[in-house]
Amino acid sequence: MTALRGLNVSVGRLPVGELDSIADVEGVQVGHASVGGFDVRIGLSVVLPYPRATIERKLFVGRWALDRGGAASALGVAEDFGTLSSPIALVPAPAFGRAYEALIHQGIARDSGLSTDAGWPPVVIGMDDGAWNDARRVYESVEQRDIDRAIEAASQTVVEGNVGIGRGLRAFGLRGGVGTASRCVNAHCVGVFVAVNGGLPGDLRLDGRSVALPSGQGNGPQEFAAVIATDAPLLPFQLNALAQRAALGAGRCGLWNVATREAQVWAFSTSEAQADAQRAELVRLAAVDDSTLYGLFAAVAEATEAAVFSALVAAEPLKSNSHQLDVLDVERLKAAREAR
Amino acid sequence: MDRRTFLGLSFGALAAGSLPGWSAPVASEQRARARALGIVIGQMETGPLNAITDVSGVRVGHVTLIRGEGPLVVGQGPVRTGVTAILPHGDILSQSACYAADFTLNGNGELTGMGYVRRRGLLAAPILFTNTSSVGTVYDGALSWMLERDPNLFGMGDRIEPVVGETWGDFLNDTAGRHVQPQHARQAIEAATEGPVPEGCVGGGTAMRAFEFKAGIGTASRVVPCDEAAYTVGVLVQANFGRRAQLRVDGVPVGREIPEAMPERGTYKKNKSMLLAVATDAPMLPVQLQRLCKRVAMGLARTGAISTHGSGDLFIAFSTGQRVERDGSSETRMLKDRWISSFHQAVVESTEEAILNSLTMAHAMTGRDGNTYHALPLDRLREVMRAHGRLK
Repeated sequence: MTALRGLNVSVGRLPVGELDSIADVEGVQVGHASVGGFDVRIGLSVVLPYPRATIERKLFVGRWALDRGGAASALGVAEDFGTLSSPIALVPAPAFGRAYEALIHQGIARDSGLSTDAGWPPVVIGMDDGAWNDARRVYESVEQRDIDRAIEAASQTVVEGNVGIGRGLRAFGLRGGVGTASRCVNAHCVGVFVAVNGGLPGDLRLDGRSVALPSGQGNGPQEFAAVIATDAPLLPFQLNALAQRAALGAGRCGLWNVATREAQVWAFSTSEAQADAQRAELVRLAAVDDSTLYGLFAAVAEATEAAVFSALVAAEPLKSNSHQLDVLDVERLKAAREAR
Repeated sequence: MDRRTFLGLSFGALAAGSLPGWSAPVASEQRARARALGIVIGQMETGPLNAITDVSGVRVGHVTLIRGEGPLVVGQGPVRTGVTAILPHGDILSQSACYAADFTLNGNGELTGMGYVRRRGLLAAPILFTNTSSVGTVYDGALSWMLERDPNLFGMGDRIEPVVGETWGDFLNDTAGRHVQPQHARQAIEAATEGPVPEGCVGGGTAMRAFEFKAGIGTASRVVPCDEAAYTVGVLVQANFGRRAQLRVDGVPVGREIPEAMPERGTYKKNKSMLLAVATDAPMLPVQLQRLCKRVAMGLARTGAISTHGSGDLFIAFSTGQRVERDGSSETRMLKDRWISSFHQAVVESTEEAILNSLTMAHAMTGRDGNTYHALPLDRLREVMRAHGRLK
């Protein structure tokens, strides 16, 4: 159960998946690893789009990015071919190269019968979690084995709040984090995993209603990232559109505003694993009708909004020698909900 | 095609023939396609017609407007323009669409309807090429044809638009006079047929030039053998770009060796555009078709062109390999990516050859104020190619 659901606060109108998480999309798992001691609070998270042993693993992928987004690898293949064949890792920006190297190594070590490029290219999203972490210390702290740990820890139980990449995030002048949610449309499921980072204190909204917050603690990095999974058979250009709708959901709760510098959303469909081993010239693909497609658009916006709030209510206060950050007061959230 | 002074309109395949009652043609050299001259581009086999219509179901129609001569009188002429229509099949396009994608190599041009193509990944309307000032009327005429065929055109929350592209042909044509009428778009669509495609000074290509020779419409095709089936790639170009010294034919610097026959009188802008449509019967998704579109740029580069700042170099590709119902489809197919490189080669070769055909098939033309584009002299072309050991 997500943190938001635990509070009995609902967002939107669509039916929610069994776990209300990205893991409602069959095969999808999320893993986190924490890194660092008392002076660095960082970590990294991975979304595995399929069980690790799956050999046929080219999925269709789409992407949306504000101002072209922040650091990301695999853009060439994602944009030109519309395919994904790697875990998606969300890591502190200074650790980008090490995470890339770790994923390459993972790909070679796993499924040794596959060619080196079968799991290529790794998808790494580098996020600025420098609100209170020193970039040089972050760089020194992250090691390749941290990615391995996150992948090994991956499961259907998606932990939210200040875990993995969520340890170093700040949002709305509060402590940010990671959150998840899912929605169902016509027998299909769409799940969202959000790294909530950015947003100004006065901007937070729930279902269109302002959530009163104490005035914020200044600006941190203004960027967010999200990963969308769906079991609906969507083609790459449809997944691009789906990713855009996650940005609309983030905008709905105020996470995305004029101060946002970089934001990126990756969306993949687990429906069509393209079997490279299979020699057939033509591949048969399922397709969705328009009402399902636009239903999924609405679902992803709603799930993103829910996932943002779930991250915020799952976050824990930060107290260190140099930094102090509050978390979202649940009573304020309920007050916004009741102000009708 | 002989050099002619047309009075009135010519339609479709008839544009290449003679019609009773027309004024006598002015004798000039016979035009020929590159292959007929012994020039072979690339390694792949062509389709039977070496035309975009080798892709089964694809239709092409031209309306050519050539009227008057002498000094420019805006609104009266001389008129040297037209419309070229490309239809992926003969059924109602909006109810049975094709996957499609586009690519902008250089953006200084117009190709309408790309919002729908990019959003839905579908071509659900005819593609029409014309001159710059006529985009609105061609759009208008095509839309009225589409609404007649499908009254529910706007009925499903979609806004399907005609795909109308343009290039600038002001050196010969009374551009400001806007002589293309909506019915000309309709006539080009209705004249569209399978079979051989008239090339050179026809349709939207009537006033165009390439490498400072007369040019216009050109087409070519390639057969792509795969394991289980052979597919076809065909292209149609409206060519209006390039400086003389840039022209290369099969790698031979023909432009540098034929400096004569430059355009006469008047001033003409040196940087212009290219429109190109790619058709294939291979079942491909939009993401794959966009990769084909990008390879058009490589075929263009082989002719020596550089895609200047002033160009509208806009390409669209569609697949007739499967029809997509308007409300989405229960199933679709795709050719696996492992085969796509052969299609890349087919697009590059076809593009190069189509541009060459637009030159070798275009006859010299005189337009407003006596301005003249000369034709690429075929005897000189053969001489240069022979000197470089490239004639078959």
